[in-house]
Amino acid sequence: MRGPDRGIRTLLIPVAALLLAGCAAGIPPAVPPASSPPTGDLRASITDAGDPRTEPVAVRIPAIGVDSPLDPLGIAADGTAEVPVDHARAGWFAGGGRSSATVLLGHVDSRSGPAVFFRLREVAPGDAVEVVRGGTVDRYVVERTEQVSKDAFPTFAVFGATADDVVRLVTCAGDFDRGARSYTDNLVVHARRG
Amino acid sequence: MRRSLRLATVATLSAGLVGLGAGTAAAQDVEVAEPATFTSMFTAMATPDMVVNNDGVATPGEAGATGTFHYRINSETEVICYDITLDGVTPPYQSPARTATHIHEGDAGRAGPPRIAFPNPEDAGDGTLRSEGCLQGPFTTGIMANGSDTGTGFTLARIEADPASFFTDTHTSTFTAGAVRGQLTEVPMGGVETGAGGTTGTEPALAALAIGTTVAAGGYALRRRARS
Repeated sequence: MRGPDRGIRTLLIPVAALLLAGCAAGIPPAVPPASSPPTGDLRASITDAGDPRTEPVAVRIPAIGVDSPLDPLGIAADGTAEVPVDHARAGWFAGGGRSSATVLLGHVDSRSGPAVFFRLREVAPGDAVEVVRGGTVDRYVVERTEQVSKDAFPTFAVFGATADDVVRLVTCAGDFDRGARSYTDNLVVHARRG
Repeated sequence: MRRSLRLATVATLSAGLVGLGAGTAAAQDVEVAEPATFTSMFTAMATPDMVVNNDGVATPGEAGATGTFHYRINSETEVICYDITLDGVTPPYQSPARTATHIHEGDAGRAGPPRIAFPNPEDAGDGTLRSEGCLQGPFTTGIMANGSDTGTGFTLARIEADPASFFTDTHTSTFTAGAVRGQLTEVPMGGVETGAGGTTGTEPALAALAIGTTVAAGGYALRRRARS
């Protein structure tokens, strides 16, 4: 362990080993999380002073009924992003170093039906995204949504460092290639601190 | 050996095409076109509070300044593409190296020698300073240590092997130890595989289950199918 980042990578090794099984085979059927609006207590704790670098533990998008715990994710052996092993849960990219961006990844569907970010395509500018960190809830506002080809994925626009306190949410979109068992595109939602 | 020979040949030919430098090693640090593929990508959030001097003593850089450094590497051809944006950094740049914008080898909180020198960011017209392009090694920095350039023998594979032991920064005349600095962190490459197709009607064996889930989901799958 040579520094903080090495620590993160070391911790992620067991996670990586689990996720290399892929996002399709052997995964239990996903059930979209029940719509559960934030409780009164959590709403009261929403703050504008949260530290964007504190590990996120949950995400809520009330407009589309998302309320999911977050699992830490890293980089797979083939260099691509690890994705949540549980289709009903979202994950956060834990390798972002000191960037102020929070990158959240979630499946659009499993082999058997909708997954945690199935309705992400429905979010619109102005919708709220709430990220729970420790005892606080940081509130973000959706700015824009873009659909990008996986062949031209904007790596740094999603995973690149930034000084801005933003959230980037990613799922799949486009056509499903049965041979490759993969969607052709990604949907990226950009949200800024509200 | 074969690979090294090929790299040296390519670098020499490229340098010959762009003309000879003024008394420097002409076969190094060649600006090249962006390669078709990369073997890894890295980013760094550079801030003034991360700067240390050559003795490893915290030496804060320019207050309020930030830098985002994005790097794409092809370690097979020794090409590194850079996209650097500085916000709040005040030139002039100053460094004993050939330029003042570098990748150094050093852990967080520690000093270390420069391994690559990039063209300094210039006014982008939007209030930021930008520098982007691609360099092909062998790399030189203009800093001599123990009789050789600090870039001598360096290969991009070393960044891939241990990115956290490298940092990137830029130096100015007011902040000679560094205006901003950040450690490299690896980022994923390519698209994100966040779907298995269960709502696309392409999984016959699971169709019944998919329908059941779709109903439970309030018909969203049907809506999606209609859209596509």
